[in-house]
Amino acid sequence: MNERNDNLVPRGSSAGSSPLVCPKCGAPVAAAGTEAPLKCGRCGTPLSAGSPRAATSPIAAASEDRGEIILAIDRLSVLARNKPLISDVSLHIPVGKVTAIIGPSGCGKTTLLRSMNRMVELHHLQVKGTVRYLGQDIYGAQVNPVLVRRRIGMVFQRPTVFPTSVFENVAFGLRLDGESEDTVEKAVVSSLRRTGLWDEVKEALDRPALTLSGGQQQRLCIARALAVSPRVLLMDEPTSSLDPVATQRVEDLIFELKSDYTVVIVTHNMQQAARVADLTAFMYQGRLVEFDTTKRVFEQPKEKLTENYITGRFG
Amino acid sequence: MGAWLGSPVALIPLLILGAVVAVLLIASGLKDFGLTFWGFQYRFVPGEPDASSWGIGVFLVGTFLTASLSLVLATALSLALAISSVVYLPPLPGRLLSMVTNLLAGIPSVVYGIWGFVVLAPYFGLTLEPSLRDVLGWLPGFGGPASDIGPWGTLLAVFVLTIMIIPLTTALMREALRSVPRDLVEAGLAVGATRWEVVRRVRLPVARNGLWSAVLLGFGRALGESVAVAMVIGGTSIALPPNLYASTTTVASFIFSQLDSALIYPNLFVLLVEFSLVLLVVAVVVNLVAQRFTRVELATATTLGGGE
Amino acid sequence: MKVTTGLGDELTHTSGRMRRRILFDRVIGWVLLLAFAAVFFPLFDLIGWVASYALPTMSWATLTQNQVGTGGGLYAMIWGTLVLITLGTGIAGALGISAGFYTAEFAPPAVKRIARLAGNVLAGIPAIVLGYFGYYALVLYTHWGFTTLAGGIILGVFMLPYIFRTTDIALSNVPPSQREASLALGSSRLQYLRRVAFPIAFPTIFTGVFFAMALGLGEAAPLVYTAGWSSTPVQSLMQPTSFLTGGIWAFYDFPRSFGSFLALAFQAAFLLIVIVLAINIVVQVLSDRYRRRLAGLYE
Ligand SMILES: Nc1ncnc2c1ncn2[C@@H]1O[C@H](COP(=O)(O)OP(=O)(O)O)[C@@H](O)[C@H]1O
Ligand SMILES: [Mg+2]
Repeated sequence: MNERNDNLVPRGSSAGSSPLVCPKCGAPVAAAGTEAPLKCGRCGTPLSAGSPRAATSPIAAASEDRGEIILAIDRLSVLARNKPLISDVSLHIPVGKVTAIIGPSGCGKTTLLRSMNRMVELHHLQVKGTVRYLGQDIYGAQVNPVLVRRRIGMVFQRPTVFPTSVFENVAFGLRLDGESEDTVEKAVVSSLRRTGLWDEVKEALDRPALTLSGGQQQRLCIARALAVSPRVLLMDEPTSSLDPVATQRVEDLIFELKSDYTVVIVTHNMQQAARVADLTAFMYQGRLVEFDTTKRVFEQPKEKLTENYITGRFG
Repeated sequence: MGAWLGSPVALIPLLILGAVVAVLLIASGLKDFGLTFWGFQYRFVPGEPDASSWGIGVFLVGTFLTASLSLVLATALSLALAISSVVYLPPLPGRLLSMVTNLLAGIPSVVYGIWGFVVLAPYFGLTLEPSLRDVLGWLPGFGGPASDIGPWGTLLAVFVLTIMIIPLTTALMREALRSVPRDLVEAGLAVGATRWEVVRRVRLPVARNGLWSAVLLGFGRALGESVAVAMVIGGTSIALPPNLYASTTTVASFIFSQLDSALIYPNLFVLLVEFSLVLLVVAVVVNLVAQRFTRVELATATTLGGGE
Repeated sequence: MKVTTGLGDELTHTSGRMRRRILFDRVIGWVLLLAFAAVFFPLFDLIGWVASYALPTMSWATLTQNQVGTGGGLYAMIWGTLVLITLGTGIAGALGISAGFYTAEFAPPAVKRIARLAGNVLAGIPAIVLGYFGYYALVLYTHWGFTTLAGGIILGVFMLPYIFRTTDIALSNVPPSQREASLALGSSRLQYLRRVAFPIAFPTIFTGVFFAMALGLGEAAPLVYTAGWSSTPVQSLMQPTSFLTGGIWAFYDFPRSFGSFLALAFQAAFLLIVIVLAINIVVQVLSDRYRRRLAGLYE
C-alpha cells in the first residue's frame, strides 16, 4: 500500500551518541563533517565540540526496545507568554505502532500532539526543545511546516469536513500537488477503501460531505489525511464526538492502519487507549509521568500518580 | 417588567426608520413616479413648474457608475488588506494595521472632499488622466477628451469614494474571514496546504456570504455618499458622462448641492423629495439583502469589528 | 534503543512544485501588504496637505474670532458644532442607550431580531436622506425654519444606530455566568443591570458613544438642510447656526483669488481632523481591548 514505508529505516542508522544541542535554542545539531565549524541550524549560534549533548530523559523511550523511532521528542516545553503548557517532555515514538497519550483534561495532551506537526505555531506558542522526525528537527530553519504536515498528518476532535463534495474532500491535498485527474481519482478511491468508507459512499461521491453521518465524516477526515501519504497520523480525541457504533469503527480502523502508518492518538478514554494502543504515555499537569507498553502502564504502573489515574481516583 | 412593555423602546430604531419612510412618502405624494420619472429627460425651468419635467435616469446611472467602479477597486484592496491582517501578519502588526485602517473611517467626508478638490484634482488633470489616456485610451471610457470644467469628474469621484469605503469593507471582510471556523482552517493546514491555499480553498469559499455582504454594504455606502462626491464630481452638467474624465452627477450629491435652489423653487423641492425617497428605498433594499444571508453589523463594523 | 537518523532530508528535500507553492505563499504575503498603500497614502497625504494649507494662516484668533468678510476666525462654527454635537449626543445617547438596554435585556427574541436589523438598516440610510427628511419634517412642516434644534435632532437620528448597536452588543456579551450569579443571589433585573452589567459593559458603550460623536462631528449632510447657516454665534436653539463641516462646504470652491476663504475652509478641516482623529484613536484602542477581552479564552 504505502511503499515508502519499506525503506523507512535508512542505511547506517545506528544509534550512535546523542547529537549536540545548541545552547541557545536547544535545537539538535547533526555532527556532519568534523572539519567544518558547526553552527546551529535553527539560530546560527556557533558550537564547539564541548557543547552540551542532548540529554535523553529516562522516560523518553518505553522500557523495552520498541524498534525504530520515527518521532523523537526531547526536552520539549511549550509556552504561552512564558507560562508553560507542557514542560520538559521527552517521548520517543516508535514506527508502526499506536501510541496513546492519556491524562486528565487540561494536562497538555493536545498541546503535545500539536507540537508534533508544528500546529502549535498557529497559536503563537513558544517551543523549546526538539522534535525530530527521522532524525531531522522539524522546527529547523530549513524546514517548512507545510512539508512537516505532509509527513505528519492530523485528525481533529470534531470532524472537519470542508463544505464541498465527498470526493473533493479527500482530493483536497492531492489537488494542491497538481496531480492528474487520474492519479487523484485512484488515490481518493484507495484512501476511501482504506478507511472502509468506500462501500458506504461510492454512490455518493458528489454529495456534499456535510450530509454524511458524524462517524462517516470523521472517517472521511482520516481518508483525507491518508490521501497525501503521510507516515505519521496524529489523532486528537477522534471519537469524542461519536456514538459507540461509530467509535467502534474508527477504533477498528486505527488498529488496521498500524501496518502502514504510525499513529499517535490522544484520548481521555482509558478503555480506548487499552483497546487500540501498543504504547501509552500518561501526562499530568504538563509533564510526562510515565511511558511504557499499554499493558504495563495499566497493569503495573511505576508511578503512584499513574496508578491513581488508571484506577479512577481522579481525572 | 413585562417584555412587551419594553418593546417600544427596543424598537426606537424601527420607529425612526418608519417615520423617515412615511414622511418622505407623504411629502412626495406618490403621484410623480410615472415613466418620465424613470427616464433620462431632465428639463428644469426655474419658476415654471409646467414647463419642467425630470427623469432620474442620468442620476441613477451616475450613482451606480461611480459606486460600482469604486466598489471594484475597494473590493480588491479590502480583500488584500483583510487577508493580509487575518492570515499573514503576526497578531500585533495585524491589529495595529487594522486600527489604522479603521481610523480612515473617521475622517469627515467634507475633508475627503476638499482634499480631492484642491489637492488631488490638479494631479489628476495634469498627470494621471493624460497617462491613463495614453496607455488605456483604447478601452471604452478611458479615451476621449478631458472635460471643459477641469479635472473634477467621474474618475476623481471614484477615487475618493474608493478610499472612503475601504475601512468599512475591510472591517467587514476581516470579520467574515475571521469567522471561518478555526477547525476548518487548521484542517486545511494539516493536510499540508500553504496559508494561501487555505485562503483560496477554505477561507474564501466558507466566508463567501459574509464577503458578499461586505461588498453590498460598501456599495450602499458609496451610493449614499453625498458631500465628498458633490465636491469632486464637477456636477455642473446633468448628462451621461462620455468618458471617465467627464463630470456627471449622482442622486445623493445632487440633493446635497441643491439646497439653495430648493429654498426658492417649490417644484425642485418635490423633485428632491422624490430623489430622497428613491435613494432611501435603494439603501434599505441593499442593506436588507446584505443582511439576509449573514449576520453583519454595519453600525459597529469599524469599532467592535462588526460582530458579536 | 535506536534513534533513526540519516534519512533526515524528507523535510527539506522536495519537488519543484512544492517549492513553487511555498514560494508563492511567501510572495503573495508580501504582495498583499502593498494594499496598505491605499490606507497610508490618503492618511498621510491628506493630513499633510490639510495641515500645510491650514497651519501657516492659523492663529489663536482662528479659534476665538468670528468670520468677518473673507477673514477672521471660526468661532461661530466651533460654537455651533459644539451645541449641535451636544444636542445630538444627548438625543442619540438617551434613545440609543435605552433602546440597546431594552433590546439586550428585556425584548423577546422576535423583537430583538427586528430591532437589531432596523438598527443596522438605519445605519445604512444615507445621511443626506435623513437631512432631507429633517428639512421636510422639522424645518418646513413645523414652520420653525432652520434651527439648531432641528439640526441637533437629525444629527441625533444619524448617530443613534451606532450607540444603539454598541450598547446592545456590549450588554449581550456580559458573560452568562455573571448574570446567573447575580440573579441567583436574588438581585432584581434592574439591580443586576446597574451593579453588574453596566459596569462591565460601560467601556464598550462609551466607545460607541465616542465613535458616534466622531461621525457626527464630521457629517455635513444631516445639517445643511436643517441647521441652516449663520455667521454669528448661535444664541438660542431656535436660531440657525453655522458649523465646521458647513464652513468647509461653503468656502472650498472659491477661486484662488479669494485665498482667505480657502484658508478658512482648510483651517476648519484641520481642526476637524485633529478632533476626530483624537477621538478615533481612543475609540480604536478601547475597542481593541474589548475585542481581545472577548477573544481572551485563555485568560
Ligand atoms: N493557545 C493557547 N494559549 C494559552 N493557553 C493554552 C493554549 N492552548 C491550550 N492552553 C492551555 O494549556 C493547557 C493544556 O491544554 P491542552 O493541551 O488542550 O490540554 P488537553 O488536551 O490535555 O485537555 C490548558 O490549561 C489550556 O487552557
Ligand atoms: Mg485536548
